[in-house]
Amino acid sequence: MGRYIIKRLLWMIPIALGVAILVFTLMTFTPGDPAQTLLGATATEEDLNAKREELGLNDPYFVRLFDYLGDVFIRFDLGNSWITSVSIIDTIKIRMPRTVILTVVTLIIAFGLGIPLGVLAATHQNKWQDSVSMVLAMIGVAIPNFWLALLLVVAFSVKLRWLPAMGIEMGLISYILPALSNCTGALANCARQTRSSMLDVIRADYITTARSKGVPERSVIYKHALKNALIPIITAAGTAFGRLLGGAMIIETIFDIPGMGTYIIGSLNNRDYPVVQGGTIFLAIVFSILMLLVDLLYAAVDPRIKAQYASSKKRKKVKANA
Amino acid sequence: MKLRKALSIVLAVLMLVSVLAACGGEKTPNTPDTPNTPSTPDGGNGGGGAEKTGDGVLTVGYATVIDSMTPFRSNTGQDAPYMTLLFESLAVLNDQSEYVKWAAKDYTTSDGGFTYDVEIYDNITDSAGNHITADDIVWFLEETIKAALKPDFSKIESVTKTGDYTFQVKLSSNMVGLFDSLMKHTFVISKAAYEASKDGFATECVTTSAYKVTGFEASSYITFEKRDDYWQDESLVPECVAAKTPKITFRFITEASQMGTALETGTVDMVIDMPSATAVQYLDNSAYSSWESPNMQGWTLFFSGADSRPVANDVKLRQAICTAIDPQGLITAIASGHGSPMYDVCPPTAIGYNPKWDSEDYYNYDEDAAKALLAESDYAGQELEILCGSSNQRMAEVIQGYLGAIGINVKLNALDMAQLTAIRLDGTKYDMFINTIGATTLANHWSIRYDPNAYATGDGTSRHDYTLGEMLYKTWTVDGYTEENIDEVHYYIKDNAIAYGLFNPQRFTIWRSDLGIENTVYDYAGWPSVAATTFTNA
Repeated sequence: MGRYIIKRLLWMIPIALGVAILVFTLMTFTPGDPAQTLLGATATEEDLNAKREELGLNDPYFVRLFDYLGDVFIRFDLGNSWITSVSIIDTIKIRMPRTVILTVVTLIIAFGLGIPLGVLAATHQNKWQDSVSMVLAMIGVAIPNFWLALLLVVAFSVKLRWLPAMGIEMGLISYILPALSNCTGALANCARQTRSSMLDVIRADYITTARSKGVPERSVIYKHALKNALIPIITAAGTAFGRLLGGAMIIETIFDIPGMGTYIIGSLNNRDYPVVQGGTIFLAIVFSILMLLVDLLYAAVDPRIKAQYASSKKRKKVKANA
Repeated sequence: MKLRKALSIVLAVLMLVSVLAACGGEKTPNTPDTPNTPSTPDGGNGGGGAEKTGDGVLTVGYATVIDSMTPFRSNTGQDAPYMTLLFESLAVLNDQSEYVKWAAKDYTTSDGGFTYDVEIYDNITDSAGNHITADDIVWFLEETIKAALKPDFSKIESVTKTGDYTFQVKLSSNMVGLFDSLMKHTFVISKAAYEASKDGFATECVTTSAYKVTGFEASSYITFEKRDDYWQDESLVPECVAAKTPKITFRFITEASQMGTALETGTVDMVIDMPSATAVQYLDNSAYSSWESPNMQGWTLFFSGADSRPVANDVKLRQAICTAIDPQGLITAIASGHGSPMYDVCPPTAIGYNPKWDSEDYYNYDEDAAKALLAESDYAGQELEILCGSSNQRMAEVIQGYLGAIGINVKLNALDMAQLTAIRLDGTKYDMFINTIGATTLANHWSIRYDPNAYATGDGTSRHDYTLGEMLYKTWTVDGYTEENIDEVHYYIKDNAIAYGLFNPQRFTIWRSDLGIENTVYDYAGWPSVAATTFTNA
């Protein structure tokens, strides 16, 4: 297992490198002159050239690319924002936890509701519970999160006055409405994934065996079936986590949460290359770590996968003992 | 089984209730009622009612975010209401559009308006206790010139310290209003404090105004608290920048509808520059008070001056376009009916604007007349391109509709700000360009847009109209800044349809009526000054 983890961690280096090269290249060829954006339309050509020189934009593409990769991967320095001059890593340290909290709360709601909904649908296949669950899931996929966000604000902040409409000053409570607005897609996917996965499992022989042995239905579903149906759900959770980390810009804007989404998108609009590049590389690394954790979770829930991770020595030992 | 059924019913009902609770409901006035838990960075009430907590903090919602407190900034956001709370400048513009000395004690001019000798107060100290001298001002000016963030500063030829508290500025131009503008944008900050800052005041700032920054979160909020050690005698502070409110928080809310929500839930006490579409719902509501002021930057349609474009040398075509557009229609569609037609390419807020223009014809909307002008033009059905910012696409679409009605084919090119900035001065890239241009004086506005020698490609639309240039240069000098010369430029631009003033939207400030406003003081942008106005129930 240890070797596997080290191998996966080492794989993250080329992944981060690839992302860095890709984002750097895309930003380089994106229309728009950062010097002009910084100095404004009325800046003289002389001023613009001086600014381009200062930012290193006059250097050839490969020189700039290797300089950047050296800064990031050798000196571990993501640089400073061109607009604010503030260290990018310092800003990420402040903003990332907010996005992580938003994402975690979103996933707790999405999977906390999505899994029971999926189980309900699967255990009542083709009955009204199944139909209601899947209609709700379809609605969840179809509802735009910004629309739901505004409705929830009107209901819970303006009318009922239960929850704050914006900001993060009230701690976790501040994240409830943003997370509710953000969770519909993940909730719907989770419910559909759980239903489909459960339907595969509950027809398996060992489930029939468990039932024939008189195991209570509740235990059959939640201990035997759900545990074995979890692998695709964990995959969905990991993917959703990564997607939500990088894609919460609209929700962050509506709810006035200064997180990673608004940071990167705002910087993209200002052609603040170092922030876009640094933020994206950081998110790519976080996503890679998440995927590693997902793989490790597979092993935790499925002994067969755990056995695959075991070293050949261990496997031989187990065989010999058998 | 029963449990599962019950669970599914509860879930379905919950979803339905949450949707229904948000839709419809009783339509009551948005009366501020029950107070609730604190939410604003400094303890303003947030999650719940709009009623005041009486904590003495005035919380203001504002759309333009501040990512950094650096004093070296471009013109973008320079008139934001928190700027005068961060740094004092040499002079300030009041609500009568008059420059009033602030940190500058006195100044004299010589050499026909090319040389200025300035004296600052000898007792200026910042919030960290640093004593400000002429060295600091000279340093700030030199750094600003180097940073090249503001075009006006490029017209400074030299700046020299002449005493502990005096310095001399030599300009390459004696354009009317230039030095006043420089005074307004020259911040009084301590070089030592700036250099000691880890990130150039980006996140931690030493102020020179009557306030100090006690809380800042980039893109989220900034909190000011009145300094106990403010250097200036309050009787000498210009009224528009007086410090009456003890504690002010600006909360940055970029999403328009959330501005209204913030006001209704008490997250903010007041919203400055609320978009008209959101503001109209508070205008007839006694729980809220409002103030409307004309925008400092009207919307203007600029025509390309590049020879490769059909509009560049076809006056009749340009006139047809101007006549085909109904400003009232634009005001209704874009500004929810709150705006005024323009009668010049500059809004009436610009210093030098002549109110008599308002009573003269200015391409009155007339579809038939537009068609007749189009018939006289050389237009042969080509596709004309309108360039605009992505946030103004709707305005471009309305104009596209008007032009389509007289038979002009129009293609829209809506770009994000970075792309727009990169090509907006290149007239070969568009036929028409929708934009606002901010300038304090007419002379300044004209110099940015219509001076054929301003840029490598000509004027702001690649036009090389030296006749207009000569007219402009006459108005730049103190002696030439006469009504006759100004009129000459106005009528030339109007008659030749070099550009067309579309409309000037109103800007709204909305606040809780029980905020207890007394002695409202307005700043030059037309907003109630949050620091200088007295709020008895803040």
